[in-house]
Amino acid sequence: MKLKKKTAMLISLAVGVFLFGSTALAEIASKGGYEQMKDALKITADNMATKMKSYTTDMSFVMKDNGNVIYSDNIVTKIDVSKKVEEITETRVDGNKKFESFRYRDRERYINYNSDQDVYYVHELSGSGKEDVFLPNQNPFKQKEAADIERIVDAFVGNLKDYVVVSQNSDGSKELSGTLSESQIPALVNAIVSFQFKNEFGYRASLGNGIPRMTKDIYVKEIKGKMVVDKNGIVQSVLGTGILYGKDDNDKEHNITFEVLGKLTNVNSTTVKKPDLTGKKVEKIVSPSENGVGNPESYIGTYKNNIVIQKDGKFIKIGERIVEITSFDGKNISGKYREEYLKGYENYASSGIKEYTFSGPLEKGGFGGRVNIQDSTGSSGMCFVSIHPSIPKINLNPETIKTNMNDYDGEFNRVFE
Amino acid sequence: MGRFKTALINEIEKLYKRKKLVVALIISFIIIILGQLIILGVNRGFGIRGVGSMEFPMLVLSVVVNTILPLFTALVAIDSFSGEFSNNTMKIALTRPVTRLKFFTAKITAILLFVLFNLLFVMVLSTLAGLIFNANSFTLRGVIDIIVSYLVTLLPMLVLTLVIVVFTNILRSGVGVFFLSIFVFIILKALGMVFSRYSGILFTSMLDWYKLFTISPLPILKIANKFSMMVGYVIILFTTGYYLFDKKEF
Repeated sequence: MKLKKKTAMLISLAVGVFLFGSTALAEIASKGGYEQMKDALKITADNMATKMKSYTTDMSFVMKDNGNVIYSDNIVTKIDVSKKVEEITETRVDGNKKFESFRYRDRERYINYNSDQDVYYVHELSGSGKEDVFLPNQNPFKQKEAADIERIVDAFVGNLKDYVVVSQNSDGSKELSGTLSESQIPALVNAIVSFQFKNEFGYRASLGNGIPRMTKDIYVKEIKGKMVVDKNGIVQSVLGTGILYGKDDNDKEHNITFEVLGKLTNVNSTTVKKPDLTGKKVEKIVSPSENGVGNPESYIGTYKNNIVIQKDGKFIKIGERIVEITSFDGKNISGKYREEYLKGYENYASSGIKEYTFSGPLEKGGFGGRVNIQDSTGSSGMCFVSIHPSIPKINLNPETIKTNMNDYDGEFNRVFE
Repeated sequence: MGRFKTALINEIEKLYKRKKLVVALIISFIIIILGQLIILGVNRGFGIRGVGSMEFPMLVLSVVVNTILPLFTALVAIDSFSGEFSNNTMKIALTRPVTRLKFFTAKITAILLFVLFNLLFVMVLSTLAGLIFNANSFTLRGVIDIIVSYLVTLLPMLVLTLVIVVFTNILRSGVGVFFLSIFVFIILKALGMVFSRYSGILFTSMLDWYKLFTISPLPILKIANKFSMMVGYVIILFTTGYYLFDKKEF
């Protein structure tokens, strides 16, 4: 009897261990839908960063109120990595307003256009700026923090990962999808999203004039996602849909639908052409490059600002500070500074100097530098000069020679005669 | 079978007399009321619906299943074993003409009935509260989801009970078992978060397995896998627990 009991126990233990072991192994070994989704994203990011020569991405975002489109945004990006050319076209419809923008970039130039201004701005690049403008794609999963973020996301997703369903197609591609209805969305997530939405759109109109102001009973009704992965494991399209329910102040019910669709197409067969601008409004901009200011001669001229004091609770202009740039070649700058006082205010003149000349080199590749200054009596010092890279403005701040420091203003605007 | 029944009734009576059940029910009640108040506050204060009537019982379940239910199950299990070891009342029960296996099984069945009763109580009460206080979204599918979710939670609770029973048969002190159980529970929960890849095999992560039953289409394979894993757990733990209990000298 004793032996029989022991055998029975051993058998039962063995059965238990076998059952647990086999299912536990299956659990660890099997890649669920969530894991497959992560893999697809990683493979795609890696391919985009290293292997693909060119591709087109198409992202669109649509917002509907009870089925009527109230906001839509579509961004098509064509990238040719090997030729370092990129083109981005955006079309946005916000209520009745339509907005279009276009950006083109290659090694020589970039072109900007938006429908509000209806002008093509052509920035010609010069010097080493040519190469640096085009940054290679970074693989987000190769960043240092990626592994930690992934772990946090995994923990946060928790049991929701069971909701990802995989359906395999005969051609090797597969579809990953998931639906969360209101009772399956964690209550906390639902509350936070609803609250955020209310804060964003309940009171003020930051974007989307057609979005109804919902103030009551807001909740997330449904979240859906679908991802199509081709046989090489590369994501072809991602579709996300969310439905938010709520009532406005007049107790009218609203179902706001959000749809995000992303597509990756024309891998290695995307060609980007330089846009034909004949017959269009074009404005050329010579932009600053790494070598410093783009058109240094254009900065030669006179700059002024006002000398102002406060008297009897009012600002009063008592004179002008005048800076004359006499020569500037992008590296060396020289010029004169003087103060002119209006009649009756001569005694306000700075206790230090009213006039000096300055000259010296700017920092390499920069827009400013410390230069020498010298006044008429021969005493000298240092002064910090800086040039605004695109608009005619300079800054001049003497360090050692005393001026009326209390109300000294170092910013000067160009004077156009 | 008749002897098992007698032993079971005896156990249930002991459990009932210890008043743990009443305390557990009162605390469950308080949690439901508090939860409902918080949701009403959120609704009125922020304009967010919070939860619908069908979601409220699910929300309560997700809270109860990770807090008071394991806690009271542990208390009841410790009382049933460690308590009787130290009071020496176990001897009296064992002198009755019932085998130790039947006696052991009766004790576990009684604890399980306690869990079931507690679950049903929470389910009925939270469903009622949900219906009375929340925006009405009553559906048949919702009701089925609620009933299934509450009932299937019994299985992971059985695993938890057996873990605690094994502890009570290893450690003498009831307080020791209590703290060990809480310690293990928290550690496993934390491990499940850090190594989420392997969390599926820890019994603490199975407490939430009722969520699988609300997915459509029903992930049958996943449910079958989880189910057999838990059955595996139950067999191992039951055998170990019984072995230790059987060897014990009183």
